[in-house]
Amino acid sequence: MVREREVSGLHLVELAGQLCILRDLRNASRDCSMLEIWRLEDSGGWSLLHQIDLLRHVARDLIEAPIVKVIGSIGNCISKNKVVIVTSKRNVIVYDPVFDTLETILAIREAHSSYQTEQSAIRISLYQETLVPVHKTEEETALSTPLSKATREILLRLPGYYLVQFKTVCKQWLRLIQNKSFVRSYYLQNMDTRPKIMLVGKGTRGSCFSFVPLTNLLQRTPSRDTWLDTKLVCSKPCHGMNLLSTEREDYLYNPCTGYRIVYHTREQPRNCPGDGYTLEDHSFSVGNKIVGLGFNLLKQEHVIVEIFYRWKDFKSRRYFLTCTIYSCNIGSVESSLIPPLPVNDMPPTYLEGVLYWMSDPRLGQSYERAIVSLDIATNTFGIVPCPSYIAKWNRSPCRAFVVELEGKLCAVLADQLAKELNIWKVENGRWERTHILQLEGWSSYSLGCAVVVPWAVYPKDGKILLNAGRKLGIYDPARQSIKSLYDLDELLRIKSLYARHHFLSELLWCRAWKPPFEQNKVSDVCATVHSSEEINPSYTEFMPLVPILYEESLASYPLVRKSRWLRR
Amino acid sequence: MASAGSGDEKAAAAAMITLISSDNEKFEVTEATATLSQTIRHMIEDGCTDGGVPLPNVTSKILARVIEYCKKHATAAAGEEGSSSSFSDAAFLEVDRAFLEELEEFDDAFLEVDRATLFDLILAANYLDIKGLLNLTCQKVADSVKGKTPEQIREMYNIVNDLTPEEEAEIRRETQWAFE
Repeated sequence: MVREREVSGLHLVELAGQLCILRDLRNASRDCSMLEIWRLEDSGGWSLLHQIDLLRHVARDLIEAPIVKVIGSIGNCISKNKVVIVTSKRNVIVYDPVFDTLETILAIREAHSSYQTEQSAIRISLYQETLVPVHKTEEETALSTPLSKATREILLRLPGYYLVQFKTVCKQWLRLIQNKSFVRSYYLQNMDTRPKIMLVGKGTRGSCFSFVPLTNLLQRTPSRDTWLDTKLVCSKPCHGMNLLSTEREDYLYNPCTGYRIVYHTREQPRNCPGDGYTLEDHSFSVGNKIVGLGFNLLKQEHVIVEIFYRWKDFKSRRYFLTCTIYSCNIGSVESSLIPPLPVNDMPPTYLEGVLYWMSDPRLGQSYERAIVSLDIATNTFGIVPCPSYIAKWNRSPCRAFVVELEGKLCAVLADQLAKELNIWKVENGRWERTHILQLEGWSSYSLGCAVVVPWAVYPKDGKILLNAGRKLGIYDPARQSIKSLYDLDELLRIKSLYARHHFLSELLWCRAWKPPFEQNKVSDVCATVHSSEEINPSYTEFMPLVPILYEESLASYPLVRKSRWLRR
Repeated sequence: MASAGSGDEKAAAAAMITLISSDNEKFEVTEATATLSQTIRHMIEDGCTDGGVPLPNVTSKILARVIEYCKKHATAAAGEEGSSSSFSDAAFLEVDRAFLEELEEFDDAFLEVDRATLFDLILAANYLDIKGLLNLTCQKVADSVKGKTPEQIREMYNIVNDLTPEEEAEIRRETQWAFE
């Protein structure tokens, strides 16, 4: 380590662990060419350590250089310490006190003019070659042992639910699991582009909701205790979290660990919010509230954006809405922003720091559709033009909305007459129609009865996961056919039969969904066996189980302020 | 003919790599086997494998097992490549499935070791950067702790609980949602 400080002609320097002072005597008298190094004694006095006659040096540089400095010493325990002298002429000379010699070890020629700007500056310093990392904390050092590396690899392969519980195993596990880079690696390692689906039900024993992976349905159907008793809408995953919304609450949820924060909706639901207006009820709407989950890339935190219609009137095209933005880590609430266009009742779509809504052409001044965007980091609304095909409204009841597929913004028009879903995608800044999904003949996915949302694309074969609320199906674009993945009505029917007829459930589950005319056989079996059984589901208002897409992640926000011991 | 034969031998000899364990035992392996390790692959690319590759972190016992794994998986990989050109699609799929089944059986048998060995294998796989082996061994341990309580895990792996009761209570408070 080298410390020095210039005191007009004199300067302090550390040499081999001792504080020394250098006296440059060249200016003292004309024929003097001496440097003196004095050492601070333990007693407090100074003693002369070295006297260096610069004339011993072959070249005259040392005498001519405006500034000569001692910057430190080199050597080890065997050889005596040599003194390193630098000059403002970029020469490095080593003084060997044993032989009383001066040797130039480095001379930098003045090749670049930029180096000559300040004549007096000393531009040479000593450094130590070490493997001591810069800004490495004690924690990082603890986490870089082989044991902890192996433990880390093992923990990366565990479901998030267990990891939260394993924090109490020991300090090392706690450090590993809470480590930011671990959380990031965990997210990336498990970021499988295949859609992962769970079913959300009512929570038991104090938790808000329960989650059953879709693949586990074959082994156990969710019990009646877990049926929801209120309408629930789930967002797509956004940076490891989902938003689960009921009419009165929004839950920021990590379905993998069970982590959640509850937000109570500020506005109270109203029954008659305007003339000529009936609340549209479909699987993606919750009352008058349009709520979406986004992520602030700048502040690295989730935000919930809630648009609430106090009233709307389709005759006069007037409306009154409020918009509230909750930031989930800081906990701030922003409610002064108003979207530039009225949005429709479909939830917004998040993509790369921006939320997108489809406008409602039945309200406001514009009779055309457009996409409303909100840049979350800057809190600014904007308008993105729709593909002209979708922008035209024609007063048709066809639904339009935005979705994210394969990391791209997509606009969807559900054409009820043609019974097809038109999907337009932004490619290289332009709208291109990428899919027309033919739903004719698939009564379960009738666009007149249900809202059918293209939910995700399977990366391997390009098949499209359709969410019709009560049903999930995989659309094959090549064959224009749908394979059923999950059918709530069937699930509930099985549930009611399950007690007496185990074999039937097997039968129904093993069968892939087929077009209605082929389906009758099994349904008939079902009906004849249970002619006495009341198959009359009374769940028209809401679904007792709601499918959710999720990502494996450990995302969470601290509930309790961290105390000292965690920072140690 | 004789010269051609010696040429082949030369090529084969050139493709051999010597790995040296921490206890100075030497293992001759083919380049195809050795390059399953990214660490060794980089060494070969940099041309610093002459005179053998010293692996001061791996004992001969563990290195022997690692090489066993790499040999099996390297031949499987080579087999897949070869078969794709010489078999028809159906035959290829058949061969492919047979390979995979055999490989799975091998992996299962490979994991039949005590915990200490398994742990050493993880460390070696991590050090040598062998993705497949790391995944296989870590998954095995991960599966063994699934559904266990922290107390059971401490017992299984001789982990000392160095958290104070206050610290533990704090973690539980912080993550109360997970314990419901």
